[in-house]
Amino acid sequence: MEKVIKKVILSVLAILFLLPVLLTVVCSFSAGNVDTDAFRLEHLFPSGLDFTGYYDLLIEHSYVLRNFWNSVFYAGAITCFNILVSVPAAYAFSQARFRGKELLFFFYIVLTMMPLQVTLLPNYVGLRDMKLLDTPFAIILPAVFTPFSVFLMTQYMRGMEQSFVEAALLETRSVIKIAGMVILPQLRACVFAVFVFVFAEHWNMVEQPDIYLRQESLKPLSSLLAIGEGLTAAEVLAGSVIFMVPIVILYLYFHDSLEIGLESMKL
Amino acid sequence: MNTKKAATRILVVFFTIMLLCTLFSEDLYHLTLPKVATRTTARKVFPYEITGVDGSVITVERTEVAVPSYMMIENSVYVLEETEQGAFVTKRKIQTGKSAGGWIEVKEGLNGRTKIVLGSDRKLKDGAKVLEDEKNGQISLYRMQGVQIGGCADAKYYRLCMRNNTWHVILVAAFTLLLVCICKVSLKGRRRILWSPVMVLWCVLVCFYFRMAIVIPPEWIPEKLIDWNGWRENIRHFWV
Repeated sequence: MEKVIKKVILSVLAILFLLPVLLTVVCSFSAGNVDTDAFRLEHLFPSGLDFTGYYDLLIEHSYVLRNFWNSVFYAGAITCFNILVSVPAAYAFSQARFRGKELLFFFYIVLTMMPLQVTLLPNYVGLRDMKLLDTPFAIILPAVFTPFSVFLMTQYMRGMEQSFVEAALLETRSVIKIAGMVILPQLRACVFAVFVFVFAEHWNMVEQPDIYLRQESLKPLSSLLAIGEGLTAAEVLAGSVIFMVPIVILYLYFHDSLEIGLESMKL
Repeated sequence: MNTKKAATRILVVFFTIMLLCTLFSEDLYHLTLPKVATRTTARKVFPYEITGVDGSVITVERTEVAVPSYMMIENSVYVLEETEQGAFVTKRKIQTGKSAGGWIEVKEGLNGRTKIVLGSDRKLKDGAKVLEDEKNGQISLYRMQGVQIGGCADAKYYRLCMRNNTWHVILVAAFTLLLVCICKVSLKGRRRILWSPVMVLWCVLVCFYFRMAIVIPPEWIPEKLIDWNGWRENIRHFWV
């Protein structure tokens, strides 16, 4: 009986969480008859199919496509460079011995806790002084060094079996060799988990492009859809569905690694 | 079919649609067009020598209508004419006089404050339409600044030429990438016999893309897809 109640509660919660997504998808195909200001459950059962939103977005207002590719470029570049920076940093925090390591790591955790709005202004000033405002670097550069992924990887590496590292130390003293041959192969699941997290976080960014970029042609799709300027309700709905697809695919690809990674990180 | 296979197929289909829409989009089409530079004719001072009755030579200065020398193609310039149907380029022959400081005196054919244009690849044609920027309602133009190099234009001008050529390269690369992705996923190397027709079809599509009037009107088609001489020139001048 208890199990049934649990299942019912969880199902209701799942439906509640999925309802906005479902409404967006269904309404995007019947957007001609839907007023987004008044979303109703009856919209879940449209009278017919209508691809006007998709047609307008992909063919008529094709500048949106540029914003889509901007999103792909920003999220992809940030994720790749972030992982490249995070792995050695996490290795240093978990394996190396140096004075002030714990204090430095504490500051890293504090930075992770900081809300985005706190760092926006210092980043803006820094980027302005480096004359990087209104360039793709304004989005990519600050995001590459976000501490969240370093924190996750450090936690993962600290939980790894140390006997492998000790055995490798008998063979070689080279840090690069140990990292490449012992640590990295074990880090696969964690890297994929971090990849999903970082990609999803920066795929959805809105504040940074709005503050660091002035040119509409440089902004990502998330920023454009958040404002919705110059787009009809049908186009925004279609854009939202298109915007969702890469993240869903990413989850389908890496959901196994994500679960393993999160379990190993003890999160 | 397991989840990863399904995800791969969705990924390929999704990005194929997005890439095709992008490649045929008006926005990207605008990027492949030659950029147009504009200058306005101005009144400049030119030195004239007058021989007096006694044989003495006096230099006087006269203010005349002039055009920048790099805007001239032989004895003609392209004038921008804005009509209700849009902005068009008209070739106009002019009679020139003296030159000074990078400007050439116009004796006949142009008035003061006339907008003259120059395509970034110097291939403007009579009657070609200059597209307007939809967003701010202004003709998408850039102004050339700096000094003239080699009778053509400045370094900034060459950089813009280069960007124009780069877009064509990116388009071809994107098409090829798309082809490889589709073949990898759908054919998987088992049906190799299908690769050749797919490649032929793709070549046709690429040609269609670059030649179809819907996408690129004939007056804007570059003579060569990638002008290697232009590239060499670009690179040579880029660092000047």
